[in-house]
Amino acid sequence: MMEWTKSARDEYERCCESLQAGITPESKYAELDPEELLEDIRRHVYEDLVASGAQTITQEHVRQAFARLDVHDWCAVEASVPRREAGTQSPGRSPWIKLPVGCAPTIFIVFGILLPALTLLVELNSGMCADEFFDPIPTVWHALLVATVPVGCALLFFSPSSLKLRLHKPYAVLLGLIGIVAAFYTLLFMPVLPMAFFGLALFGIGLMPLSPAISVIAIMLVGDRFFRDVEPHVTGTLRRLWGGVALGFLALLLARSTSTLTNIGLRMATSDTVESRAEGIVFLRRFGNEEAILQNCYFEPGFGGLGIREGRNTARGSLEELLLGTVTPITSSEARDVYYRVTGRPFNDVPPPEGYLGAQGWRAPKTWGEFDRGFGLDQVSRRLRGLELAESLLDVKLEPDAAVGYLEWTLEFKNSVPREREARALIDLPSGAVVSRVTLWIDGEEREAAFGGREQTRNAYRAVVRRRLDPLLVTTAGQDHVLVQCFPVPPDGGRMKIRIGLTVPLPLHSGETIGVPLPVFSERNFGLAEGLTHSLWVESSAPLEDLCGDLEARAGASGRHVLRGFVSDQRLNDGRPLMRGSRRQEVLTAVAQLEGEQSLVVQTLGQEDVAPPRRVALVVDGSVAMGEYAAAIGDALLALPDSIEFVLLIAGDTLVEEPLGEAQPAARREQGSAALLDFVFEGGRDCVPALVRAFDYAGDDGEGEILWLHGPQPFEFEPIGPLIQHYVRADCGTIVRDVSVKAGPNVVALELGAAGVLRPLIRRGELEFDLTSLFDSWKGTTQRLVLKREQIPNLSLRIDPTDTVSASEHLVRLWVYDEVKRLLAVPGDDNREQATALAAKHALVTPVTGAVVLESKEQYEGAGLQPVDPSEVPSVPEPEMILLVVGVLSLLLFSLWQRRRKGMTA
Amino acid sequence: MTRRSAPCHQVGNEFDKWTVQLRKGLLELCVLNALSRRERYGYELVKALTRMPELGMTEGTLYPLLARLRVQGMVSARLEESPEGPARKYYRLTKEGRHMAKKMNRHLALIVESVGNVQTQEQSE
Repeated sequence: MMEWTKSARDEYERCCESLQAGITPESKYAELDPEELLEDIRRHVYEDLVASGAQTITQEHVRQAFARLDVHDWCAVEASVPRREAGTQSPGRSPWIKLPVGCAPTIFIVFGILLPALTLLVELNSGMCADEFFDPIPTVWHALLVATVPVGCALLFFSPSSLKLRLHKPYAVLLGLIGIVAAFYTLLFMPVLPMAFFGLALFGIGLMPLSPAISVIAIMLVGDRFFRDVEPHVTGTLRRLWGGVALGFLALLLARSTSTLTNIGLRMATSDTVESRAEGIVFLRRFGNEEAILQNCYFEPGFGGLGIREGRNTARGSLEELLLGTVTPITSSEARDVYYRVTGRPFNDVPPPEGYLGAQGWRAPKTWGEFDRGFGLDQVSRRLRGLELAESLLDVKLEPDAAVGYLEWTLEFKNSVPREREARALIDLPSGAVVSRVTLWIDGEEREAAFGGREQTRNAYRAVVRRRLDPLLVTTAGQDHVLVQCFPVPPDGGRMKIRIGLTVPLPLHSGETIGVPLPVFSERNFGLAEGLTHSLWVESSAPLEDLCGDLEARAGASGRHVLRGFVSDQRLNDGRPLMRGSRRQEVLTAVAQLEGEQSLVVQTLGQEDVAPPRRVALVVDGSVAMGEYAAAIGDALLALPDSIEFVLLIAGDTLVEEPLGEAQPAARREQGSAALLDFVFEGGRDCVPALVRAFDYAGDDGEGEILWLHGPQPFEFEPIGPLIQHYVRADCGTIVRDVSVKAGPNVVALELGAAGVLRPLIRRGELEFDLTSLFDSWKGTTQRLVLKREQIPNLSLRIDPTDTVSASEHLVRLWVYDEVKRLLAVPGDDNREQATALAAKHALVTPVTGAVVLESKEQYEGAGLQPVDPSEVPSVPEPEMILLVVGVLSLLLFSLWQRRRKGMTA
Repeated sequence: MTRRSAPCHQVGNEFDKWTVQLRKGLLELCVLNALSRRERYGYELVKALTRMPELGMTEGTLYPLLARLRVQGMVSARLEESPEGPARKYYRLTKEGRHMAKKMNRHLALIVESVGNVQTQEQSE
């Protein structure tokens, strides 16, 4: 029910009285009944007020209703009765701005429609504002909202009055929506407006920052015209205008919601307090946008997007924060840390963010300005756009009886951006493997590496890199890891080809079966070409068995066995073996001549008793990578023998320890298995607290063991130092059996590896099978196959030809690698120098040596290095193999003849 | 000596005057047509007609027109109580009004046709 104010009622009566008085015999409609007309008018005004929806009728409402009626042309009412302005259709209101006739449409089209459209297109295409100040269009939704301004203005401007009247409701909503969008951006650009005015006045440029403000004026003009067109005929338009305003505000809020929530989460996750950081990570996992965090990982502000300096991220694109002046810097390294915790993946495990609009982005990535912060350094650092691995060939040759393999990994990089690039990769080697050959193709020719002291090779590489010439460097980066870096991958589609040769000790599954482990990328700064697979060729003197279903067996030359095929990078990375090989069980000894010395390297296969542990701490990484294995681990856990005490430690945001309390062994295993299934594996978690607890549980008596199942962990959250200290000081010999389910950088594993505590679990099949086999082996004392390599003088060898084979020089290399590690285990400069000389002599990349390929002889001489003679490098097949076999066989025959002669003499 | 054509705004003013004249003659027909299908109450009728800006009607002019049509016997009116506010006045066409509307529509169609024919004739010549 409407309520009338007193002034409204007075106005109503006054106007009616005036009307009554105005219908005089002289008036146009003198023949009509004044009373009847007055009643009609009264009814109309009342209906009009009801239709306006106003709850309280004011004097203004009444005046507007009478103005809409406009009775002045037939009724001599008082001048005070409202009337419509002459020449307009808007009651009691003149146009907001009267532009000169003729030029008005042109001005409006240029400034109200074309300018905002052009501004949007220029910003989308060039990212000008995003580079210099902030990103005004951080999402595709922003682009659409901004586009409504020129489109809406054009619609309202060009639509005929009849269409406006017919569609007055949606038009009013549109008007409100574009009004709030333009107002929002005007406010946003307020800080740069003085600069824009200045530029416009002095240089005639700077119109684009003014575009939102000009749009506001245009919208007011077009809105004014719209209201003048429809207001006399319809009511409630203003309500719908406010509805449009609310809709626009909501749309802006929603468009920003993901990045706003992400920024809030980032602030929390990098705050000073532990609780806030933990809450921030949880918040980001629920509401954060991965792409937005990734952009922070890559953001390098400064100099118009050239990214000269890296570090501080001004939370680019945070419009609200910019307006509120609450921008708190976040470093890109902080963002990388957060990215891992939230997603469970290292930031460089995924392609770099695409342009400014992230996943939805249509703006081309600005590769021309991308600065490589890791250039020439010993970190893989960020992914580089346009750099990719175009070809990958893995050639493997096995000596199954000697349990030795040689593998060559040929990599060809392609660079599609107009700037030279350095390719860097951290390669996870098979356990115990050592790099024994490094080759770079320069102008189509193979150039072999020089092996020298680690710093010597690195300095030589840096010196050449600085001169933008062609070097390749391979150095170790923790246990069983090497860092490969090569430069320059030529621009504009140029390619660079390198080869890494590895000497690999083959794990023995049993006396008659060997594993064939392959290297994988742990971390890389390049992408993989679309559809790239690793081309694999494995050759052995004994049969090979394909375990992945992707390989094809075929007969090789000289009756050798070959497996070949193509394997995806994902399959290569998941820890499961691709194949296995057979060997002759009766072969227990392998010998190889140590070049230049009157001695042999002898490898003997023996067995040793292994007592099962009394206590086992099963540490499971709670990161997302482990989620798919939870059921397999839980099922395998049920096979744990009753005699072994165990604790399950799940590294979550907080440590989960199961089972708690006393229970029967079977019940405890069930409890642990259920806990694994119930646990939510998400994001990236820190395994250090779980490992510290695991060491405590395993005890100091040497009877405890830790089984650690994990994915990548590229960052150190809790300090690892106390964990290593615990292990080293206790000197209890606790073993950590390491099971990595996904290749990737893991700082904890590297530290534990360096401390000598890690022992990788030999993978033979699926994870559940391997764990169950391990637990089965703990049911009693078992025997483990052990390969022991030693150097002995030629003539002191007692050889039984039935169980001895000659091996290639790779056996010698493995012995040398053992020696280097033995020497380095004892502190002292002498040992270090001896180890360096030994490794360099045998061309091995070890913790004290590296391999570098330089372009010219002068560069080698300048660095004090000597490249390996191409005729002496190992290859597939090994060049000296035949000579070696002949030599060792002669030795064996000589030994046999000598023994027989001694027997005869006796 | 070249003859200068009239400025744009002058042409616009002449056109406006012509449309006012044209609309004046069509007001009654519009009201009769608006009531041809069903009866309508005053406010509803006024709003329906003023919603078409091409007709150029203002709300105030329609009530005297309706009153005059009623006096002329073209429309009849009746009052019906409204749940809120004063009673509503419903208008409907009388037999004369319907006949008149029919005649006026037919004549208008002839005029439009003749205007079209004049144009065609001029073009063919």
